[in-house]
Amino acid sequence: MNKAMQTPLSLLLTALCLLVSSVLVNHQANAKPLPDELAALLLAKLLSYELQLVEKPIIHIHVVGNSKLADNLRAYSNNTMTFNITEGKYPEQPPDVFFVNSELANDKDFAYSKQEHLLSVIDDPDWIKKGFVLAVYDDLGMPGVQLNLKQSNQNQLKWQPSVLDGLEVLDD
Amino acid sequence: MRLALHPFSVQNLLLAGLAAANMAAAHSQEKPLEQISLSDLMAQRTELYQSSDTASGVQETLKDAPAAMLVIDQKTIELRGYQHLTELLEDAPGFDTYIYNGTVYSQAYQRGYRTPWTQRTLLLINGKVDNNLWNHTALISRQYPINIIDRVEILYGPAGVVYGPNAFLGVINIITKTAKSLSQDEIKLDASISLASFKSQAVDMALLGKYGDFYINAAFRDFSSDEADLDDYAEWGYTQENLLSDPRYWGNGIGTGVDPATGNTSPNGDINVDGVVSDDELRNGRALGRYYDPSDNHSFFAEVGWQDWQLGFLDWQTSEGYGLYYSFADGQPNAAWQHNSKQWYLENSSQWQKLKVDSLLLQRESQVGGDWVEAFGGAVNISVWNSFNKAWRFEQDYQYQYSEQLNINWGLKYERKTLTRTYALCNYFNGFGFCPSQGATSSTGFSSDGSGVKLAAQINSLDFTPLPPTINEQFIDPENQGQTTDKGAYSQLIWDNQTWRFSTGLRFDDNSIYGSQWSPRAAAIYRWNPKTTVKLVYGQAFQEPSPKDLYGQFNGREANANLKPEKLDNIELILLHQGRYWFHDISLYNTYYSDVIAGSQNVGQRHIHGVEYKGKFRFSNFVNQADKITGHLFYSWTQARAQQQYDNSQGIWIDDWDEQGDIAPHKLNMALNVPLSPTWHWNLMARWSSAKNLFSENPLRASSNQNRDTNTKASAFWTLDSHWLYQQPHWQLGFKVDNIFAQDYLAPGPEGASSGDDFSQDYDGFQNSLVPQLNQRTYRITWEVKL
Repeated sequence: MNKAMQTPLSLLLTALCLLVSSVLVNHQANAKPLPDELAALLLAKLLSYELQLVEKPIIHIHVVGNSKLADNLRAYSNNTMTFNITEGKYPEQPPDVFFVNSELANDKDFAYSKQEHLLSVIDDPDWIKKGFVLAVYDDLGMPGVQLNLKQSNQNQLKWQPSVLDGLEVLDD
Repeated sequence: MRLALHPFSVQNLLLAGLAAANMAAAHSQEKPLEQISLSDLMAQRTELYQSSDTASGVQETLKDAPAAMLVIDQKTIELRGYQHLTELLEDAPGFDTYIYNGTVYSQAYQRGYRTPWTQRTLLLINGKVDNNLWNHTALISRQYPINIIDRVEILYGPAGVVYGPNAFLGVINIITKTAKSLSQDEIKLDASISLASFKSQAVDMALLGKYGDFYINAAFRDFSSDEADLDDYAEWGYTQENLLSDPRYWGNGIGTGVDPATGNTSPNGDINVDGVVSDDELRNGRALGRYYDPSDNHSFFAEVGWQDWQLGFLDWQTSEGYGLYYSFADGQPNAAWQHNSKQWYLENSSQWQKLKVDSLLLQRESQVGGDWVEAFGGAVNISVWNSFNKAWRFEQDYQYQYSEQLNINWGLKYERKTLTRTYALCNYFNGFGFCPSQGATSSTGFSSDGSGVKLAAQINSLDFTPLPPTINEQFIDPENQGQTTDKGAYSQLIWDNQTWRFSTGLRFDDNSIYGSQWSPRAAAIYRWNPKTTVKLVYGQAFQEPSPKDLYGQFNGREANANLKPEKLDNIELILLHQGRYWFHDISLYNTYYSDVIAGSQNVGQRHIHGVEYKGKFRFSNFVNQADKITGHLFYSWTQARAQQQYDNSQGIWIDDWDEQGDIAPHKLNMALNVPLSPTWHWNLMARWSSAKNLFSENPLRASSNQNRDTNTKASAFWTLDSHWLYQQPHWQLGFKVDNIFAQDYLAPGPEGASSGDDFSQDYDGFQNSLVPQLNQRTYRITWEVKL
């Protein structure tokens, strides 16, 4: 082969391999956490669609690694829905809702949420298949919400059917 | 002519206030935001909830900020393949941006206000001013580290109530990433290498680390380039390479000729006319008399924090050739002009219950100067220039959250500056600048003495242009310095009842030279419904005359110690509307300027009004599992008029309300990001700028030059860039092509733009009246690693 052709050809082959491999990989590289105020608003709204939670006089939400989100959730506690917000690693009593900052998340967190049948929430959709129930994140400029329905059912959560139309539902 | 109806009259403001109060009453039963529907929540634009303190000095969402703003976040920077700030500004609405590659790399006129350089926009790094202390320029080149940038917030309109002087046309605030948000014992590294056309290369690195209460943020960047050759630019008569070695302008030393004393041939760049170009006659490793325009930029940034304390350091330097900025019959491009900025600071942020106190102690240095090889009035000189300036500043800002609705904040500033008055300048004409080594033999007792200036026609091996003496770049001679003291105080009240938000503030600044100024601002923000927000903002601000305008006189520029600060009144209406696919952001502004500074004079008023439309879209992708298709469509309409025009035939400013010039009435920016797979992104960025009349100092404008019959405009242009990005979790590869269709156009000239276009001879107008822009495709490949 002409030596001058070798470099462009190898570059072309490399680019082709990258393209093929990229199509085979499902990688959500561009998701990031929502701004805290919007995340709190959206989370508070989503909780109102879980049929058991809305019956509770006080909803216990435990937040790991995001004090600003916790502050915003406290601000949205009102007569319609009253929140008890706690922070730290794991609470003494299992909460109703367990939010984890994905920067700090590990396998113990979703094992804990499975064991206690919690409504677990995370801010990165990459974690949803590992067993978190809800992912609430910034999907390139607008809120993205993914619901892991299988995990939700295992955790014995019951959602208003209408809410499932507005979310991205993973049920496999 | 003074426009009869001033929109900022007390009556008009009262009427606006009454109308706002009526609307508040009518909508007092508006639903609180948390009660909006899930579908409305899912349609909210996340950028509007981004917290920012750029507009008010207190953290608030962009939706609540009392200003029109544009935020370019790290993700957008990556997708578009931006490697420096000029690329961001080229795609931002409301800026007329050109690349001069000269004493300044680029020029960006914000909101239609033409200035010699980018001097009326405040450039901040994490809220700390980085404009040059002496000439007020926001030096926007390739020096800032890009990987440490979290986002760039661009504010349109005045913000004097928060920042005091010089937050005039707007603010560009570069917000860097911080390790504060990392988890314990975490380290993040983001490093990239770029290779591009014209032997351009950049290494850029950001490092964040956190250990217990201790954290570190650090970054550095090194950029160098040979820059484009003359063949890569549009044609212009004063940038023909043969002019650089023409002995009629440059004599037989720098020019190519024959030594009259010996009859020997002297090549170009043979300054001492001895027939050989020796090492000490080289500039940037090459002989004068040929085109060469290298650039070298570098920077270092570090912050170390412990609990509520933070210690920071920023140091950057740009060293650039003169490119096509000046006529080749007047200035050699192959020299080095440098800008340097250093900042050290100590910050503390404390909270006592509802009271938050932020304190800052900062010291900074600004330096500008370099070599200059000039042909003027038949004479040639090689001179050296320098202006070194320093300042220290103490600021303290207080925030008191009185109740859920009411936030009160106030602050104090004290700043002491030690400034160069006129350039330290040696080897120049007798009586100009300040040169201790030549002062004794000068006409003034302190300036250049003219011994370095030789008539081109008489240069020979016995009497040639001498090289200049060395100047200490980090020194201000006590005989050539001035000291100023700035004191400032402000207070703001922010009242928010979920439907309405009112933000009012007043600032007082006192300068030991310019005297005192007041900068008020009042804003009413109405959340019409979950999708729509309306803002009405009124503000005043002032711009100090720069020390350069006051004292920095030399051959090519006047100075005037009696200049008054420029002032502005601005009112604007901002509408934000979020749809399912589109987000619309429209600003209508109307601004009156007074005591405008141009050509070292206060030249009356200007009136600029316009519209900035920022539309952003987001659609589902046809490619399974790939991200959404996103992009923007920005449009700017600007009408800028000036009370006084420069009469080129008389050399004076005269009253004549007319178009200001150099500003495109219509500008369009489009960007499209198409993810081709979960890991491949394809971006297209297009720009269109309409034809524009030139500034009145420019001799090509017929209406301000009685000796000219034909008016010349800067023609319309459009450019298209593309960026392909391949992303993996820990690395990414980008390939960018700029100016795909190799568009060929000329930009309006900077400063006095005085060269003219009679290329048959030289009229000693230094700055080119039109500056050629690149007319070639350029390429860049960037490999970035994230660990």
